[in-house]
Amino acid sequence: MPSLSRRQFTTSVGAGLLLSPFLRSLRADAAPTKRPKRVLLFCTMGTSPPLWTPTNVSGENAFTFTDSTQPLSAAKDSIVLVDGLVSGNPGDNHGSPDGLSGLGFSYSGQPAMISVDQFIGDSLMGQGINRPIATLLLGANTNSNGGRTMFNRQNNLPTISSPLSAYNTIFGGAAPAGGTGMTSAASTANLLRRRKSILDLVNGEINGLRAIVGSDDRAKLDAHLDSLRQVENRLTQMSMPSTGAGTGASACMKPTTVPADDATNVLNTNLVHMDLITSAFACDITRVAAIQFGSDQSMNVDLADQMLQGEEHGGFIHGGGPTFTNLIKLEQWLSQRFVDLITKLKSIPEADGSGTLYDNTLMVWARDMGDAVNHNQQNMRFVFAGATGYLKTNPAGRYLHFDGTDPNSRHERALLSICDAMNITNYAGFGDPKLAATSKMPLPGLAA
Amino acid sequence: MLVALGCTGRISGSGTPGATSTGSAAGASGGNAGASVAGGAGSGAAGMTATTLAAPPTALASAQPCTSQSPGQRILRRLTAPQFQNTLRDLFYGDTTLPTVTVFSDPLVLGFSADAGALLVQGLNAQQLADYSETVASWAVMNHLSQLSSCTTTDATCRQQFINAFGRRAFRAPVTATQLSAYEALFAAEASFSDGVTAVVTAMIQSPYFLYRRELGAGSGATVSLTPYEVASSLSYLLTGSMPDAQLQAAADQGQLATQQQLDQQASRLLQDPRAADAVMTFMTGWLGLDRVGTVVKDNTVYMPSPTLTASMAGETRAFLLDAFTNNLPVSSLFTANYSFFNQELAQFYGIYPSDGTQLGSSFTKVTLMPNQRNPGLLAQGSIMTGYSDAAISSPVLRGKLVRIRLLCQNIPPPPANVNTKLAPPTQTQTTRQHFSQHDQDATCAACHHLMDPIGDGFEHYDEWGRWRDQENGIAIDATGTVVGGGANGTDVAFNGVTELSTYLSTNDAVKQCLVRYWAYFAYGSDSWPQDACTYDAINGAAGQYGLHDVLTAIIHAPHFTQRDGS
Repeated sequence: MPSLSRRQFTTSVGAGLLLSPFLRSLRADAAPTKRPKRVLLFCTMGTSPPLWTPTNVSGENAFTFTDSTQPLSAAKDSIVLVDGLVSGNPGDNHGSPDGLSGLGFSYSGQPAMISVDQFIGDSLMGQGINRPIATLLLGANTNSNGGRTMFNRQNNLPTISSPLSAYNTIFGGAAPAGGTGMTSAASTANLLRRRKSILDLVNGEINGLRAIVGSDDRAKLDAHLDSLRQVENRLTQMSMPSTGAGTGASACMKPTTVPADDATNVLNTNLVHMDLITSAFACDITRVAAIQFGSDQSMNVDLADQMLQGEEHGGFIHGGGPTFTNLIKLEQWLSQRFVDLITKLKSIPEADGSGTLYDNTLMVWARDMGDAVNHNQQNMRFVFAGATGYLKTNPAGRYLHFDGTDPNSRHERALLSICDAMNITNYAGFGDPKLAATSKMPLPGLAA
Repeated sequence: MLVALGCTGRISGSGTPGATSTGSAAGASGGNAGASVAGGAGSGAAGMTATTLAAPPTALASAQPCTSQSPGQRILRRLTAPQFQNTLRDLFYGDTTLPTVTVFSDPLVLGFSADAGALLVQGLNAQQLADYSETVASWAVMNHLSQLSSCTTTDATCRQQFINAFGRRAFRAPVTATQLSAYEALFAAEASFSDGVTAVVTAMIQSPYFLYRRELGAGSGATVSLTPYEVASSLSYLLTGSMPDAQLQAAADQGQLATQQQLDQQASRLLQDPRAADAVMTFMTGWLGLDRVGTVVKDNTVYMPSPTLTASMAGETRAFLLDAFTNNLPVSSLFTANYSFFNQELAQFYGIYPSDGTQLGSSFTKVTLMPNQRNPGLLAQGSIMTGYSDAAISSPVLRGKLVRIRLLCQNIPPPPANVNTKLAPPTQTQTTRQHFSQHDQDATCAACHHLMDPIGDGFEHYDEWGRWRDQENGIAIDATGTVVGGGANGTDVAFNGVTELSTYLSTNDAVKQCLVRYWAYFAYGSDSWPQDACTYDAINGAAGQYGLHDVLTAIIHAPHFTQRDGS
């Protein structure tokens, strides 16, 4: 369908059905009755906009899902589709770093580019909310062929690919490692003492080395020191038994089998990642998790059930037009996986009785490019779900279309909505420093 | 001198951003150049000056003339993921039951996991290391305590003996007094000898002296020499992918790595090590993208291969390249060799059998290619042709790009933004060449694709599995091609088929110098100008006929291997 400006959109659905932008802004500023305590970022690469954009739109609750997004219709009462947002990207192009930072990959100003997952992780720590893992980033095949992830902090961050590595990372440090025979409380205390001593020793060595190397290497060692601070954070929590990972969480089930690595089929690996994130949430090991499917350069797709074999970026996106049959199949599969996650999180009760994991998790399907075929960030799109009580939903589904020519429809605002949901309202250090204060706020109409 | 190539030619003044990029850190496909630690919450220790991580390169730097005799900067190089695993295996006496390593997941930069600027301990890595080191230490104490220490008492003599001996191997250099003191304190806090060993091993695996190879040198002055221990590590990781063995450690201890002759003796010895073949292939795999044959997804509705076919293809190329390396064959021969290495499966697949009737088995045997069989050389091998193809059809784009980027060291920037890159799907009524000719019809596409597609067209006798074909969809194959700007003074070079293209490449000095660029980058972990210009000149001057062994030796002989800028 032709793109509607906000004015056209508002007129077409009637003022009574849609809040004006001004009112929406006011509503966004109002305190929601409930906020989620965790975020799950479901990151896939951009698609071709016509494959995704809802059709037959006659109001934010009246629209038709496309073939690509059809599986989402099964969860339409839980989701909000958002599109038409523009990036602050000054250059456009392959945009993995852009999707979650609101800034383009060629951005090099200050403050440094940081993706929303890292910003939230830092902000939660600033609020005294410390979990063993500040941000859990999983994803297979995200760094081949020059591909990058959507996660940034100083530089582009790698995802953990190997399921075994992810498993060990999530569950490995929560309890004393085997082999020492130490199981008593005294032994655990002894192990924590040892870990603290080792941490101090390694910190000292790095600082000693830092004093004799050049600036490039100092930056490397600073990244290392930053990484060690997360170890320190985890040790601090483990010294406080009541907040130890998994303690008291009835739904916390450490997977009994260690997942095997499957390097031959990256999408199978991603399925394991989804399960591991769910387990990490149930055990309250992390409050911020992300999964990335492929990268802005390539993703090998081998889905026997879909009769789909090929490569996403060069093949399905650039070589699949005008019908994009394969890309549609892939998008359907991804949509179904998003719904699977909704279903799974809904099935797991919170340990403290506060509903299900789903109720307390803001799920966000984010993408690197708005239009992957044309390599730009001019029409960024999201799917929001979860966060019961925060996210405004409708039994018929919701579709919020923004007018890309409106300076208020910057895609950074969707990212600020994630911050807002997590009760982070100080945006200093995140996003485009030049974005006007009137736009430096959550998306209107998203929150209840 | 190598020439960096921009997408110019058919359209002038296209103004496409980055179209002439040669891969500076902030280039068209660059990352977050200039991102700074200072902005990240909680980063940077108090009182420290903010530091900036340089973005990894997206292309080899443009060539510049040698104007400085500086041997290059001091550098820290974190062990790559395979080096980390190999080192732990060898640190614990080659025990392959080492607990599965699951710590690092590094990006490939320029095809390699070698760039010192991209090999970091960041994010959750420190936690992963902390957990993994505990697992390994417990395993090591359970399985190797008697090898780790000949004494088992907790007195100062015994624990110092252990810390010095194990630390010497883990740090690949003698334990300093400061280090000894710190690890002694750690040990002394434990109740038993085995717990002390557990604590020390756990800590040393997390130590920066284990994790980073130091190429810092000692002393001061305009130029400083790397220490014998640093040279030993450089040699060992380059040639075996792991820590120095006992003989190399002894040579370092005795200061016997100071002359080229001493380096050559050790290098010759290490190249006899069974691990050396893997180390050479680690470079070759990164240079030529040989892993692609095992990772590219194919459409099994077009062709269903045997489960072992791609492994056999990789095996052919491995045997071919290792034979060339072992026999010090010139790089030019890689393109012109009228032989390859087949097992029974490949012979059957290609329909090429030894002319003398030799029966082939599962291992790889040298087979001479006869006229009217497959084209000579590396480029016609299944691993290359299959890896550089799409799922259902061949890819002149990928094959042309391979030649430009990996063999000629020219950069092809990614498509500019806001260009419709939609290509109509292939049909049953045209050839793959005709399908990709859509690129010629759009001036913006053609600006870059005319550098790739006309080279890739020359491979069109090989389908997406590297099988020879005379026709496609009933249409005769046209394997004529052009290396646009590839001749003297930038003239075009026309050719027909892989043999003629390979002949062109085999006689092109740019190919030889390109091999040096990539191998030096792999060996040194960095690619920067201007100081490296002199390094490359030194290597090119010493490489003779560019025998593969000679090139590697020249890299070891270059000043950068043993010296650094001390200022």
